[in-house]
This record gives sequence, C-alpha cells and structure tokens, in this order.
Amino acid sequence: MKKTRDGVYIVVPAYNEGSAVYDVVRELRSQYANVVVVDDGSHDATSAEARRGGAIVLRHVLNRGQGAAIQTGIDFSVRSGADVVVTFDADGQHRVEDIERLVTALDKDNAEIAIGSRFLELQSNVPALRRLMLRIATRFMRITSGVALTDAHNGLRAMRRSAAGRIHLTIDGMAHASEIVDQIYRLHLRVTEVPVVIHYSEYSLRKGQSSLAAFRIAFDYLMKRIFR
Amino acid sequence: MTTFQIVTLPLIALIVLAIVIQTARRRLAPRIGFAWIVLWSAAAVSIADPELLVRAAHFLGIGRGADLVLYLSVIFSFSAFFITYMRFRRVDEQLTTIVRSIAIRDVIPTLSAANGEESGGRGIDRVR
Repeated sequence: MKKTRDGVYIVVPAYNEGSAVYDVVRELRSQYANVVVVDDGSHDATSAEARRGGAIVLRHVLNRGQGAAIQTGIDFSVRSGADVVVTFDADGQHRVEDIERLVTALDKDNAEIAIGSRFLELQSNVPALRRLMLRIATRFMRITSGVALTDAHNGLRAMRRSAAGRIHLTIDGMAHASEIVDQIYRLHLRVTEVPVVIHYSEYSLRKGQSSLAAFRIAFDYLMKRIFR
Repeated sequence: MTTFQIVTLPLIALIVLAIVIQTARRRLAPRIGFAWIVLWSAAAVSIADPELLVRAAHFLGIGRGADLVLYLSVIFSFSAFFITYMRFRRVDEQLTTIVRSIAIRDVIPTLSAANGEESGGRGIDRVR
C-alpha cells in the first residue's frame, strides 16, 4: 500500500529546545506536511520557534515529562487522521532521511511499529559509556519484558495508526521508552527494527540524559510494573 | 498523676476536640475524623493507664508497652507513607490528563507562509 507523506505525522517532544527546535522543524517540514511539536512546559521560546519553523504546536501548561509529551502528540495525530505516527527527538540527534526508512520498513516487513536502532549496523560514534549503559538497558528490557530489541531507548519510531491508537504511555518520564517496548509485547504488536544513525553533537549530549539517569529510569519503570 | 500526664492529657483532649469540630464542620471526612479520634483516644488511654498498655503488649507477646507503641507507629507511618505515595501517583496521572486535554484543545495550527492562513493539517476540524 502506497502511503502519502501527508498521512505521516511527526511528533517532536520538546522541553527547553528553543535553540535547536527551529532547524529541526524546518528540515522536517521540507519533507513532511504534519510536524507536531509538543512543547512540554518550556521556559524558553520553544513554542514560538517551533511555530516559526512551521510546526503544529501543542503546549503542555506544565512540564509533564517526555513520555507524557509523546502521548499527547500521538493522541492528537490519531485524532487528526494520521496513517503513521513517527516520534522524533527535538535536539537534532536524528536524521530526517531515517524516517523514510522506518515508514518503508512498516510496509516491507508488514510491521505495526518500526523502531530505530543504533546497534543493528556498526556505528562507531556512540560514546563508550553510553554504549555500555544502553547495552545494559537492552538486557534489562529483555529480562523484564521478554522483547528482544537491540536498542532499548531509541527516540525514533514509526507506528501505524492501528498501533498508535492502542499504545498508551502512562509513565510520564523517560522510562516511557521501556513502557513502549513493554506494550509492544503485551499488545502483540508486530515490530521491526531499522538501523539509524544518531548524531551525538555536543548539544544533544548536554541536553540529553546523563548515563546515571538510567538508574532513576529503571526505578520508575519497575515501580510502574509493580504498582500498576 | 505524673507531670507527663498533666501536660499531655489536656493537650490530647484539645486535639480531639479540634478534630470533632473539624469533622462536624465537614472539613474532615467523617471516616478520617473517626480514625484520628480513635488513634488519639488510644494514646490518651495508654498515657493515663500505662499498666493497660503493658497488659495489651503482654497479650500480644511483646515484652514492653513502649515496644508495642513503637511497632504500631512504624506500621502506621509506613502505611500512611504508602497510601500517600499511591494517591500522589493518581493525582499525577490526573494532572497529565488535564494538561494533555488543554494542549489538544488549544492546538496552535501551522503558520502558513503563503497567504497568512492557518491550517492544522488533515482533519483538524475533527479535533476542535
């Protein structure tokens, strides 16, 4: 089935990304009509910059965390009639051309959700500590949820409308990435992985998670699993 | 009467009175007010008659009255902590739901450079 790009909604969760979000949105908008930036209660000009770049802007009046922002974007996209919902980080770490590969993979592999992976193909620019922490996170997810994915916390994903309507993220913080994997397993979604490249710019490393945050993420995730 | 009893018993009486008033004025749910009154009354009784507390402790196989109070207070504060944590999580989820509906209701559509018109992509009318 041929999909038009108008049916692809790109959800970009953004918190205090005022300096990066304009360029990211502009580049996305050169390829895709519907770019949905969810401003997660930023204290800077994220909303204005996203709007200037040509995005549809949803604004959280309070900071609720990346998982909450993504879910808001997914809800909006599904209600707006999206065929495919893509999640894409606001800090410029993803490549726009990788979106096409994910969307194509949905059809090619007859999958409902496609997840980017930095580890499917050898990518040398992943910092050593980050590589180690992600390996551990992946192993952790394999043990707790039983899904064998090579990259537990990749922010680049594409899902069909059918999958987007069923996934519901309840963990507001960063542990939502594990929750998605968990729900893929529980909802028996057909999943495929696509090799993607992550730009570890100085900006994205500074803005992103510290490797130590992994422990808090794991704690959030386990608490949610125990006290559902 | 010991000095301790002279100081604490009227104090507890005042606290119980305050709880009764707050409950009567509907500032406290009757169930919660009742639970507090029971708790403070038990404290008053064990202060007024420590022997009773010791007998209760012995009945449960605990050596000292003070130990019984310690164990009960640990159990009480841990469950209070847990209940508060669960309630906090529920409020947190509700807050996210509210923030999400406001965000979707007040969507800022795409700025269309061509003619200054606003459009929010496909099916935007259905969202409104």
